Amino acid sequence: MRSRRNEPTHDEAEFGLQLLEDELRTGRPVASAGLAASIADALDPRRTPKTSRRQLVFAATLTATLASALASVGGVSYAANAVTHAASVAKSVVVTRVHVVGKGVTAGGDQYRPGFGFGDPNHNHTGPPGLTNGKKGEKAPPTQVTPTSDNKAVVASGQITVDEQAALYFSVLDSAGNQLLLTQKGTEIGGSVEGPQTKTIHYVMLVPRTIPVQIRVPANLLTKGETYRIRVIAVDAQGNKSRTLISFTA
Amino acid sequence: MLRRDPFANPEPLIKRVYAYVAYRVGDGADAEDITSATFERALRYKKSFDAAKGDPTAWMIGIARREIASHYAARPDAGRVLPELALPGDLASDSAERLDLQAAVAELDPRDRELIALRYGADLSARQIAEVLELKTNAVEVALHRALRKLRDRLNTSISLERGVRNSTIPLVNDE
Repeated sequence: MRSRRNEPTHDEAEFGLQLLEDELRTGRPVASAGLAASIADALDPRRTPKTSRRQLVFAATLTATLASALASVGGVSYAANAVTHAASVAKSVVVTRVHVVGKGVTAGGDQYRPGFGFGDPNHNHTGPPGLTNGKKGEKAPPTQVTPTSDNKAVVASGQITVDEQAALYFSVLDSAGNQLLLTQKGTEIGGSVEGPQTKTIHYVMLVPRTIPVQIRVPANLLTKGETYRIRVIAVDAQGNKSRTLISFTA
Repeated sequence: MLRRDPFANPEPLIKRVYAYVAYRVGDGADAEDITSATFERALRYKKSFDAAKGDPTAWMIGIARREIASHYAARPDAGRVLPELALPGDLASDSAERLDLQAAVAELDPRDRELIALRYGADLSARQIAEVLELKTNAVEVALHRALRKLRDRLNTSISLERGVRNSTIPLVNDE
């Protein structure tokens, strides 16, 4: 029943309040999904140790990787300390073994040795870089030629020795002097190289030493029984240039 | 002291704390910041939660109230900013009504607004509200009823005014 001035009765008013209460509950502000997810994630008790362990493993791995990179460009004595530290950290966390290998590199034989560094006032190498096939002072063994397991390529293997820092350029020539296309994937010059097929592979030798060379050539570019030559050009910082040819028969 | 993880069931807790904060300061970025700060503080003082003294929601609301107080202390005009209202006809009617409702809540005085937020945002019972505000349960029920009536009156006024603006041929009051 309504009053003369159209005001609600007590029951109507109470019913109106009930509707308002329902509206306040159903229409209450809702947290965005992003906020709810981020808070729920922060409250998750499993999150902290899991992340912490992952971060520690990542830190140990990163340190080992950096130490490895440092070793490959010299400064091995510094790297050795870093590796020791990384190994101790890793040992106490998850990683049980860390191997850092500096192939043919010693602290006394890297580019910091007097007379061997670019820009070193004691740099006393004169003339073009000494570039030899095989180990210095030894007769080079014949180049090994091995077909890959799928017979799609041939790998020619040998060694070269360089007696100072130099930029090295590798290519394979046929009997007419044409450069063949080389497959970098599967090729090793000191270590593995990566990249698309190319006619010349560029490698910077920072530590003078003997390095293994394995060059992968697509089989369809080679004729069986024919002789090919691996051409290596070494250029030092003064622009002095050396060249050597390593023959092999397909 | 009874030990229990207050965050064992976080989803409803987040919803209730956010709704409480949003009814207090308005839905939006400020409410999100305060809610985040509330949970951050709660996580830091998790060990102080005593299940014997009440459920996690009441404990969280206590923290949220302090965060809101800090918010207002840093920005004295924060509570006076009303939520932006949609123009009539721009949104679906239910969304517009929701905005009307939140705007009407924002216009209440702080005491009534607090009660509405605790009851319908945090979903606390009158007894729990009494504990939070250190009042008697009966006093909370009466105050809540008054706050609801004020809110209803404000909504009726705003709807009447809106109709009056949109169609001046409708009388604001039937004087028959």
